[in-house]
Amino acid sequence: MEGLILILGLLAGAYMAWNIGANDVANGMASPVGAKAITLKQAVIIGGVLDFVGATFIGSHVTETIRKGIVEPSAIQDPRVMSLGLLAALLAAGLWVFISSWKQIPVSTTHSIVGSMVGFGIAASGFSSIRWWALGGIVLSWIVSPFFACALGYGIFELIRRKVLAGPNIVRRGVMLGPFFVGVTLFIIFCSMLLDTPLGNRLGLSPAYRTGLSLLISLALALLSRTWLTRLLKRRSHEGVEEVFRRLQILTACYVSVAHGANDVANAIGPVAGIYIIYKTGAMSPQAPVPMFLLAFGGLFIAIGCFTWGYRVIETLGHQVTELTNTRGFSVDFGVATSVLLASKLGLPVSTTHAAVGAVVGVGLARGISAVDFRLVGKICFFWLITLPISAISCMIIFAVLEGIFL
Amino acid sequence: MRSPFVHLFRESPFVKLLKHAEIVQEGGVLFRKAMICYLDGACTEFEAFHMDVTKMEHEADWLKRNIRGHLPRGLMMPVDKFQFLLYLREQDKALDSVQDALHWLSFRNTVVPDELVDDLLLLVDKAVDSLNQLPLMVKRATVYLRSFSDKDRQQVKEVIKALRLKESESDTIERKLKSDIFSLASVDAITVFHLIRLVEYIGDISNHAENAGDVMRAMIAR
Repeated sequence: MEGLILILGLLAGAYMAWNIGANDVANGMASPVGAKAITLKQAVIIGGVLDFVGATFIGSHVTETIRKGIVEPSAIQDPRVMSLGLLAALLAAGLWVFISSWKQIPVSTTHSIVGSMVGFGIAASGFSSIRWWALGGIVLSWIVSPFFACALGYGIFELIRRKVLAGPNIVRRGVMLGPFFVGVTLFIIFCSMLLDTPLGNRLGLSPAYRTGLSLLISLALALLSRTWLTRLLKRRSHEGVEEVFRRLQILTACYVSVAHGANDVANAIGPVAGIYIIYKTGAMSPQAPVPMFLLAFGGLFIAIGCFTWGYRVIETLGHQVTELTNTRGFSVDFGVATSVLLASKLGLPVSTTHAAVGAVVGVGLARGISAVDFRLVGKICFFWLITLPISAISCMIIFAVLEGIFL
Repeated sequence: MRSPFVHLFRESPFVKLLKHAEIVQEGGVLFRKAMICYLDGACTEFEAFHMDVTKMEHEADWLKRNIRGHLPRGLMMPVDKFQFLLYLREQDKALDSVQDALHWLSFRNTVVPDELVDDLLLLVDKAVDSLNQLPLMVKRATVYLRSFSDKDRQQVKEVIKALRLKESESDTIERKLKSDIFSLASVDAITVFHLIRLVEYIGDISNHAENAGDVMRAMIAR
């Protein structure tokens, strides 16, 4: 029976990961494609490959939170109940994501899986089995992350507008400020990859040393980028400052993909990891870390989702977000990736999509976009509020059905 | 597709604003033809031009309502929404004045004394020139609001300056014409009234175009 649950869990996890790749990779890739910083083909390759990298090398924190941070493991003694519950959570979240994709409802996969996990905890062992304080932190992060992305989007675009665009010799100013953004972006990526990850631990260096190493590499690459940008503008000076940000947008597109993979792989792989560990050890082991091959499995299906369906979504959105010129797109992507990657490092499962909406609203508030409809924020909040109970209740029902079949 | 991105971006209202400005400009071209026809005396196409301008005014009105109707609460724009609407109103009023002038002319067949014709045509040219600036101003403002560059902002300010200059010139011609009309010895009071009011209507065209420029100046203020 455990083997069957594992196979079903893997299938449901693969579906969730595929869906994340198909629908959500576009959030970061639409603006660089729309602003013609990269081609659709390049977007799909960057999205697929770097989502895989983010999922595999940085994705463990959020996955751990989904696996054991919401439901108190000690409240559920029977490993079989736990396995079934995790499977029910995956199926419930998958179902809700399927319906919302079909009906074009802006629903977050993150919220669906967290809601399902809560439903399973309540169904299996009552309200006391839920780690309410941890859930409170997660829910709070859902409110904080779009605001943070909004503030970053607003701040970065204001900075670009005041310090680069509005003033004489904007190209020279772009070349001066560009390396700063390159440095900050790379520093956050390197820190995410080297601090508190299996890859970083393998280096055998102290955290302070790894931070210093990240800083040093970022600084060196930022200086190199200055030379590169200066050379680039010597050849294409007529295209102006947007050209600088067109190149920088390629970097932020990569940044968003890494952050997206790191955060969203957990929505598919968190419960699968729980099922796998129970299958492997026959017991619930909160100490056992999430195996890297499972993260890679999730990353692989996110990439497949991106390759098989994501390109259509990117293409469609790319046509709609032409208002996001390179400077705006850069501000949005930087805001999204930074907030999502920071949340991932804190083990907080946040919605990448909502962070993206927050960042666009931020650039809109900085008066950077000709028409942004803020009313969507209210709609998103509504679906955010109903996602939790819907996925929780459907998980309870699926869990009861699975219990009847297997137990 | 469940990405909220689909619903986040709305069509830029500046696209329709430009279309509105182009209709207003086109109305100006027809207005000039109608005026020449009226002054000719023998021309029979005045009513056709008059009708065309009326149709255009209706089209511009419809577009104005369409733009207003698609700026709901919660829509964030690079410029203040109320200033944008004020701009649209002034741009629309410029064409209203064109229509008013032609309506006024159509009420009576006044023979315009020869000594007024040159100045009247000059006044018409100033009004038409003002209307010609409107699409250019909207285009340049759109470019500026994308680039936020000082250079592009200056380009918008140049058009606003040109509009002010044309309004000032139009005012001077309007004053001179009024003075000349009142000094005409051989015309009756009705003709004087018809011509004075006509000159005021034509003067209003440049006034509204200048007002639109002033609102645009406020829209692009830092």
